[in-house]
Amino acid sequence: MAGIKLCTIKKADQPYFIRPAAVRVYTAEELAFFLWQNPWLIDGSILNTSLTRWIAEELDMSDTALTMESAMRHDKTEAEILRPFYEEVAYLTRAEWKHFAGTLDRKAQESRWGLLKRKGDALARNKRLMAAQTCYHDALDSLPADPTGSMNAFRAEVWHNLGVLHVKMLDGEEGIHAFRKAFSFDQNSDRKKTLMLAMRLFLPREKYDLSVAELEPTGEELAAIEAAYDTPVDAGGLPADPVAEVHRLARTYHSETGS
Amino acid sequence: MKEVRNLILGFEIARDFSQIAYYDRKAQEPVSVATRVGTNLFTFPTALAKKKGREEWHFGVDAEYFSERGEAVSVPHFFEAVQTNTTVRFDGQEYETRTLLAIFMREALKLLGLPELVRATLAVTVTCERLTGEFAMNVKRALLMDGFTADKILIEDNEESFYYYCYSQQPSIWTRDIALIRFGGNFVRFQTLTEMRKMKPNIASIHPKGTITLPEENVDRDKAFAAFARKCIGTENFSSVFITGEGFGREWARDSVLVLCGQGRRVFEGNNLFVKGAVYAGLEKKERHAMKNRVYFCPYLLQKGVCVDVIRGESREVLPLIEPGQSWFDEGRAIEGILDSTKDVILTLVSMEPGWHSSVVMHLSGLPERPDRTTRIRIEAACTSDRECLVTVTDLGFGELCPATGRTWTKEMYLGPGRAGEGAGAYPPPSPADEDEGTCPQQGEEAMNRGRN
Repeated sequence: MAGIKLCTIKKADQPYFIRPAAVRVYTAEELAFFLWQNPWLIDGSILNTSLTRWIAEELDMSDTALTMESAMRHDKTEAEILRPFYEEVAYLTRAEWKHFAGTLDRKAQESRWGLLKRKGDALARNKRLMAAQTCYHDALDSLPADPTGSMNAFRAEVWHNLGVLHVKMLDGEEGIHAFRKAFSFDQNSDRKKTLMLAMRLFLPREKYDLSVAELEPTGEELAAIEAAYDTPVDAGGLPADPVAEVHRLARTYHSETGS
Repeated sequence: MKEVRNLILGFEIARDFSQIAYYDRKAQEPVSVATRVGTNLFTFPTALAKKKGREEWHFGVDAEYFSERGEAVSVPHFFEAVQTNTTVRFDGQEYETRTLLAIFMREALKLLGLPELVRATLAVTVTCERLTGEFAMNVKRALLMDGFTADKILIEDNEESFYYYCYSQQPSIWTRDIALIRFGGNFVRFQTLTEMRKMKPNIASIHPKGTITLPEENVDRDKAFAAFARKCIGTENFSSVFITGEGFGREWARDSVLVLCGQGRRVFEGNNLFVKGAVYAGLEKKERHAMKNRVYFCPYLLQKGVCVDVIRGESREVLPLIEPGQSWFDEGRAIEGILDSTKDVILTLVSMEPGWHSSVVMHLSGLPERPDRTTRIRIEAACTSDRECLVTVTDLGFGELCPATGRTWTKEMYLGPGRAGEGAGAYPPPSPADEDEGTCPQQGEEAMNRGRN
């Protein structure tokens, strides 16, 4: 329903600090929006008594906070804990709440490594790059033994995301390493092109030519990299604006990871 | 002073004398505040003075006393000065009139003897003989300076205070018309408070009946006043008569009292009628709400109001920002909301006339692109006169998730009589100067649905 949703809940004098994302929220609506957008970040570090105390004291929603605390004590699901808050704030439509609650319930069925990877994606989206890296490494470490290689696609996705994080932090060497690992687990043309582009961005031209030759690229793949690499190149081989190029590379990141 | 919280105060500011009253919850009536404990002195001179070269202020009797002794400098023509928004120069300094009024009221309110007066007050109603826009704004700003929040401040003229006083009494006082006789020395004004009971809500209003200048000599004075009263009363039915001001005396008013008391009329005399009426006004507006089926019609009453369309929970509603039928000094409200799939604020003008409304769309152009439902806005409406109000919309952003731009959009709205497109008295024709003035360069508005629906 389009229009102006009336805010009736008091604004907090003191914000609530959502530690995993390093974000402060001042209103019930901000909290509702953040949790809705980041279901994979919701865990015990957010859903705890310090949150309910803030809801009770700063938002004057003591009844809601009590209901939430009761649900926490009875080990209810995250959706059941959050339901009274969302009902009171009325920020989401019924359909949105249903979808959100479904995501929270699916989360409970997710494997540990899957959960860590999704959390890493959410942290990266909130610009918590170091924390995201830790999550991705934890996800790789928590994978079970896989003699048949059935988890290779997952490994490739996580290494790809790690590569993007390194590139975002302008750590080209580690980025190329991560993309190389991703390609080793999933040898398709897209992964190869991503690796080639990272090499093109961060390696001197001569080294790039040598390294890329090992990948045995097709002429079409080489042309695609040169087309993507449309920034003028200095004599030293680095683009004039590597940061812009990195951001361009990172744009497709979230859609690729499916988060 | 028996009350210590949820105080309802009345403050009468007149040319010569002022006075304060509060609502005594145990006695269930307003009580005047004495200027000296244990005395029957309830009024104090409307005067303000400061010690020479020092920021030490005196009001009332003290102001006059220290000024006469030459120890203080009184504010010249204090009452006239605070009627306007200007500055007054005295004791070598320039003072804003509203600042002087704030000092006067702050010092006078100390008579209540409460250390946390502002916090303990629920409403303070200021009443004066003639209410101008400038004086009303001065009073409002003065009380804001003194720490009162806008929702606690009520301003009205003596006639409105009289209305609240009368209709807060037992019904036998107001079953028929009520006479108000105001003495100002030899000058007398006769007014009537009437109620149109056929209309819903009932509309009460005060009308002048006549004036007279009485002779000084007692016998002649009595005869002249009796004849004047007889003429003003005529064949009309009055339940009661209220006499106020300086100049009436029981020692001379023999025939005239008989005239006033005729036909079973009840006659009251006193000098605290308006200040007590101001207290009743605060009580009625903030707590009692017993006069909902009655509206007082006065010159500064808003003919139209402004509402905003909002979504509360899962239903739509029209929320009043400015209500018609209220005095423009008191009106103005702010709400906060979140834009949901829209960049428009729909404002609706509503009239006291049933069935009439008109909508105006404020388009918040220039708002940054953000995810849906991550723009919080503040919509504030404030009257600038009895015919105009200003609606201001401010972008508050969405905390750290979407920082606020602080951008504002404004829209002036005409609340006077008349309807759009109906000739004289209707909305002023649009001109370039009437465009929205705000920090947003491309804002605009679109009128729709004007006229009777």
